[in-house]
Amino acid sequence: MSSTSSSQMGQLVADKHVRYILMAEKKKESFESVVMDHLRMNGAYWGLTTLDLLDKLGCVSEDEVVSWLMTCQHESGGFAGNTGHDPHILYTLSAVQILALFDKINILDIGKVSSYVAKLQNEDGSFSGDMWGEIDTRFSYIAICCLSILKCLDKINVKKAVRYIVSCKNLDGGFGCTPGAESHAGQIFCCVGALAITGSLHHVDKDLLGWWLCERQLKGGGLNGRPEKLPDVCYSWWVLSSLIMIDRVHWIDKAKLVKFILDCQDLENGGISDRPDDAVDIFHTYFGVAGLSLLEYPGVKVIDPAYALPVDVVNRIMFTK
Amino acid sequence: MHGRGRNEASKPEETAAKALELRSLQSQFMSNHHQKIYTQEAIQLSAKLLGINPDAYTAWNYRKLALVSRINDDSDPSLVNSIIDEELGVVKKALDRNPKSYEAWYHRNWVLSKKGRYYTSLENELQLLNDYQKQQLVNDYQKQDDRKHDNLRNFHAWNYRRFVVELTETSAEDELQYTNMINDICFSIYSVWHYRSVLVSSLVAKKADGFMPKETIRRELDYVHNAIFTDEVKQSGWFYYLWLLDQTVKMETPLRFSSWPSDGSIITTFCSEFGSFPLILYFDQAVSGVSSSTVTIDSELNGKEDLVWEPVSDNKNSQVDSCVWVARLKFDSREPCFSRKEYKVKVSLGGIFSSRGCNLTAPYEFVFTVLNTVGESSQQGIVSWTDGFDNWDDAQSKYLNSLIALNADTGFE
Repeated sequence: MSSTSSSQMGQLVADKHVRYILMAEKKKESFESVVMDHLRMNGAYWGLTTLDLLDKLGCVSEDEVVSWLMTCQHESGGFAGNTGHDPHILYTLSAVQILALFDKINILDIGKVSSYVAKLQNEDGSFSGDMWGEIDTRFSYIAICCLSILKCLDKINVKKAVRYIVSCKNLDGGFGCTPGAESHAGQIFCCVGALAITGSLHHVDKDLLGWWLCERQLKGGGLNGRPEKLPDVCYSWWVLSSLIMIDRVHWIDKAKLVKFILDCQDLENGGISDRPDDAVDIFHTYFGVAGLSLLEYPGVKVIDPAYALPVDVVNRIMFTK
Repeated sequence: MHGRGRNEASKPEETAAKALELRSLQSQFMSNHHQKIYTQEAIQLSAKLLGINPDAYTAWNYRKLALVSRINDDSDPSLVNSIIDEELGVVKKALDRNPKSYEAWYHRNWVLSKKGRYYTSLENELQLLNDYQKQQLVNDYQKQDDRKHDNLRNFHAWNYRRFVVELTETSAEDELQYTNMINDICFSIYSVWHYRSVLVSSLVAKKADGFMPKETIRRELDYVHNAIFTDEVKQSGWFYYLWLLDQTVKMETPLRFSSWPSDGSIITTFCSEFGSFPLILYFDQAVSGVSSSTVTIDSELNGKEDLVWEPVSDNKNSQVDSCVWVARLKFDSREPCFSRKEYKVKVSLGGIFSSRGCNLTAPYEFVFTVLNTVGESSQQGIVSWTDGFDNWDDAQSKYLNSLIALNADTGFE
């Protein structure tokens, strides 16, 4: 059976994706899996959030996940990508997001985790990824998102953080990783998300950026991350959530994008790939489903474009003490 | 994760063997890392691991720790050089494997920023980058593969380039020539146009020779017309064009300002008092050159004394551009007075420019009144100026600056 049989085109094969994610967890010793060992925390976040969006979070053992997750916490308070690895802000956010999915943030020593993140802020307002000092606006987003979920935003200098992000704004209205770096949809998501969470979206030229973003849509309906590049399902998230946050999503053709994402599914084995007929992976499966959520595809829970978590999870956090 | 065919399955036995080898390497490495073992053998093992898995970030951290354990500020320069060579070699192998590895690029950056001044081959870095970026440089039409100009589109390489340019103090003019060279062959690489926009902006802001705003915009417009004419389908030139046009719109916009005291207002001072009050000029763009030669005061109040204008900014240097400028206007009412006396103060501005080349449609003036009256400032509802605002301290300056930064982005209202 070909993966593009016409009777199944135009449908989200949700059950197959659920099975793909659960099976991937079991294939820990494949080469692909071993090579990604160090970012298992991210992989867990992508897989589990996808399951929750498809309302199947109950298929995993919460206790198993949480107890493994806690073995990744370092004495500094930060989380590593997997047991034994060094802590990093990337995996700290994923860990907090996973606990949020399970409504288990209360098991954390919030003071410890938030201090780890807050200490990574530099004098100019930027954030380093870890003690080794790499600076990137991805880390600004991560810090702001993480501390917002933990309700500790006051532990950092938000004004300076915003000022640094704004200094990374380019002449095309987009944002790069550091001042002077080229606009890229991933970085744009991070900067716009951080500005959204801190109530600073007035710094964004919405029409200028909205135009740059909507120009990412190519003839086939898919989105690329920068001019002249190929379309990729993960940009259904980075570009789309940015457009939603700046209220310009009506500038792209939603139906065509839905079709592109659905065409990237492996209809036999489940999972979603970067573009049609490529190899699938958890990363693109998550971004494909999250993209469909933003496009209001039926059967997928609503996701928050800034926090990248289901809206009911975000509400639960924000509306309880 | 990207660009692999769905049915490109490798032989199961091969992948199982590779997986086992990697597992074993990883667990040996972890043991060395946790026990802080930095022997030659252990360090080489980490290099082997990174050659297979360039994104294994903990191994890069380990190598940084190993470097720090082997060299310090007093180390023999030849030892330092050989260790740097070793690190850069490991990074190169990792980048051959994955040219988009954040961790590998950062390790190179970290090694050179820690020890770069000792490194005798620093000039090579720019050459290496040039070679890397130009490797695939052919006209778009000649390239069949859909991964056209991947090296030139590799943003990690461009970020690293900016780091090396700063470290080697290469000039922006030279870098602009570099972008010319690439554009001469292929006009459709967005990264190049972006870099050009950054270089041109910085040269204009620095008022470099040959880079006054109007002439630069005209020259760049001609330049980008070429690109668009050559290949109107490609987006990159069009985005640059839009930005240039936007600069011309801003340039024709007149510089606007407001003041305190504002035109037509009245400031009250009291008999038997002396002090000063601030005269504040607020512009909608950062300007320089506000001084007693560009701002003249015509009033009996201050006599012949020239006012000293200061920018409200963290930097008190009068060459700094600032949106807000302050001077202190002194008054002295200690001479006996028995009735109200009014002093008109006329402030005239001219010849003030913003960094974008906008200027006041000069001359511009405003007039306010200082009313000297009988009575005391302790009367309710009257603000006293006797303090003279001498305690315009850093906190207030920073606060005002942050307000300015906010307004500068949202547009003057």
